[in-house]
Amino acid sequence: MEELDILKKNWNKDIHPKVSAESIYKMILKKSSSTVKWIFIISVIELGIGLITGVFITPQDYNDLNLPSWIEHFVTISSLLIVFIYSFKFYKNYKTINTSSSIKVLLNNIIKTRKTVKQFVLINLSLMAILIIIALSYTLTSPTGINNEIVFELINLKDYLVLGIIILISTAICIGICLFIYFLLYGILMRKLNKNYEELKQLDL
Amino acid sequence: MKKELEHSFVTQLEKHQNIIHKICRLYTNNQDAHNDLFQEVTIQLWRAFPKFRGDAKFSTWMYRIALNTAITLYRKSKRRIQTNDIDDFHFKIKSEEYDDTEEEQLKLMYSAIKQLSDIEKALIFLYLEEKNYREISETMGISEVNARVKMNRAKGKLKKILNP
Repeated sequence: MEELDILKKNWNKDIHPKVSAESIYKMILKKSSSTVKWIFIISVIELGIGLITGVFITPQDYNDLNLPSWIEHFVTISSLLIVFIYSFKFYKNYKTINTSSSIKVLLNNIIKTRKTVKQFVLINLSLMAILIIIALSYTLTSPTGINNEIVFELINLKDYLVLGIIILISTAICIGICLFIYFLLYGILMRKLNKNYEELKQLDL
Repeated sequence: MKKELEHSFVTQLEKHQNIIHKICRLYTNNQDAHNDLFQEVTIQLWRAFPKFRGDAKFSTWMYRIALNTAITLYRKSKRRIQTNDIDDFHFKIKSEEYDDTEEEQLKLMYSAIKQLSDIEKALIFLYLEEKNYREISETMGISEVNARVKMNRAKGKLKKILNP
């Protein structure tokens, strides 16, 4: 290919003005603005939020929901367990990210690290949805407050259904908005990585 | 100790910086983006430097990290760049070294390479650097056979762009 040969012939000639040693010294003091850094920051925030909500949802909050104690224990233990398992997995995967790996290995490790946090968020959202559904069914079947006062009284099945559907739809909308923002954010950050990884992976099929 | 490490890094990088400039030239479209990517590659190289063992050549080690930065870590500047704004900043330098026809062909070639995917650009870069298929396959993380296939496809794509 003639044009490529011409470029090859001139490849080492076309030298950019040299960057001085002094400028290089200044550069190494600057902070990176790489995609991995942002993925890391956002992931730590997500795991942190998971941990904070797990720790700060007190038994009193469950009392307000008027749930049986086994559900309270189940939710508290499982959220904390999930946060710790995923924090460990995230840390382990993050440590494997090494810029001197081959391009494919590096892309794979970044995507794997990201997937860990994605799973964590999806599990947390599912847990949240399950909790809302359980709380809803308990509230509808026993409409009493903390001191056994009757909070509301529903007269017929139609009222139950309407209230149930409204709460379910609002839950779905809330979780939907969370997921939309989430995927939009990562869609932007991960688009380039996923595209390049797919291109290398396809070649090996 | 840190001072020594810094000095050794800066000296070697200053000597081999042309490798980074050549990568920046393929992956960016203007001087600002070129400088941004150069800086990001320098930061990534500096971070990895303590783990660099002298058994590999500094320049060989640089290829991987610089390409990895351009392909996976670098986030393009938010500035919108129109295709016809791709200036010829690369050709303003030392353009007196080329004759007019060659310069024109080089311009066309660079603009064609910029239309390739990030992975194809990396392959063309390694070809221009005269790396053999074993080195290319190790840098890319694919088999030698696939590196060959992908290289031929990238060259074919360039040909198509240049002679539609």
